[in-house]
Amino acid sequence: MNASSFTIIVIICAALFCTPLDAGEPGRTDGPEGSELGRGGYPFGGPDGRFYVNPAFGSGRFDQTATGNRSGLLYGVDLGYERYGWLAIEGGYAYVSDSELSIYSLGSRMDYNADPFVYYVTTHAGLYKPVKGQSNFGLAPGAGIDVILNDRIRIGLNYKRDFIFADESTRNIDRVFAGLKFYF
Amino acid sequence: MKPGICITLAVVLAFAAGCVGPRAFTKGTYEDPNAIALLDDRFSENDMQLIAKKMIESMAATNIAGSNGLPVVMVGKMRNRTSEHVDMTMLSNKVRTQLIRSGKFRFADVESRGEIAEEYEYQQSGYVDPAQARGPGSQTGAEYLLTATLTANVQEVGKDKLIYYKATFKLTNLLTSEIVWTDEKEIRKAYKKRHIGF
Repeated sequence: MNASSFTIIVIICAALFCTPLDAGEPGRTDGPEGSELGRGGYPFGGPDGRFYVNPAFGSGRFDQTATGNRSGLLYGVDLGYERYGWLAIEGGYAYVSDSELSIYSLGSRMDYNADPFVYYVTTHAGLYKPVKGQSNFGLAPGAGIDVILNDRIRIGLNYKRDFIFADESTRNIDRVFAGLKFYF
Repeated sequence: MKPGICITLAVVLAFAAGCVGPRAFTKGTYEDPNAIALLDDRFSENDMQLIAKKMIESMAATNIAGSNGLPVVMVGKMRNRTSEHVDMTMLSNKVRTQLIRSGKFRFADVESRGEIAEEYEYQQSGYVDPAQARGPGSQTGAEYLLTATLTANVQEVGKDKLIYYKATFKLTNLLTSEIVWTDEKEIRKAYKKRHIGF
């Protein structure tokens, strides 16, 4: 990921974060007759669905190979859409610096909310594209814990195990990274 | 043990600990009772408030006169003909309170008749100064009877549900049995079924 791409992502995130949350003010029963029509009210949580962005930073460590273990810095971003407060679809990009490997992935996330913590599991499928060499398909199950800072921001730790299906063998990566989720 | 396996185990254990731990309602805040909060599809305090508001405004706008100043009303049966449990006392108390505060009606205390009778007996028993003792024979007779009926209709198909309530209030002249005032409030609420967890 070059500097200009990173800058664009940061600007988009900042712009989305500044957009007002569409919480929808609940109606009232002490207004004029009929003023309650069309107004609902659910005092817990936000709207049914909302977008989020999750910039992440951590480490990616390849399993032992003929050339030995290799670790590298990892950074990336996930963009997702959460429904019902517990189910999300998300797409992501990650880059492992030492291996010069880009990871493009799509998948889902399921949350269990135990305020102020959110435990979740993720399942992603993706394209693993090194700068040199062939691209491969892989799967990446994972799990993580977030701490809810407020309605819009969560900070957390995430672990993913990548299974990269190459022509001759399967390679694995352990990804451990911290993320900061912004909800819109 | 490989670091990856250690991390996986740690995350799984943390996840499991969060899932199986006891949970309780320990985090609360005071809320505005007039703000609409439709947490489920049952009759709520907001429905009660909407019915009461309509009836109070409608009844207070009438010009019903009493034989001796303000009309004296007694609250009769508030019938709940829905399939839900609805506390009709809460509804009748709210209507009565607001009507008394409007300064247009007086109410006979039907609920306290038993206690009042007991107190009369006590005060007439000789323990109380006869000059101050209260007794039967001086109560104000109610001139009007306030009654109400709450009915409901439910339509449900797939994920969609419509709930309809109709509250009908009426004021009957106890002398002539004429209905001197009546009004109704209709409420329809629409719901969509949604998941509440996994």
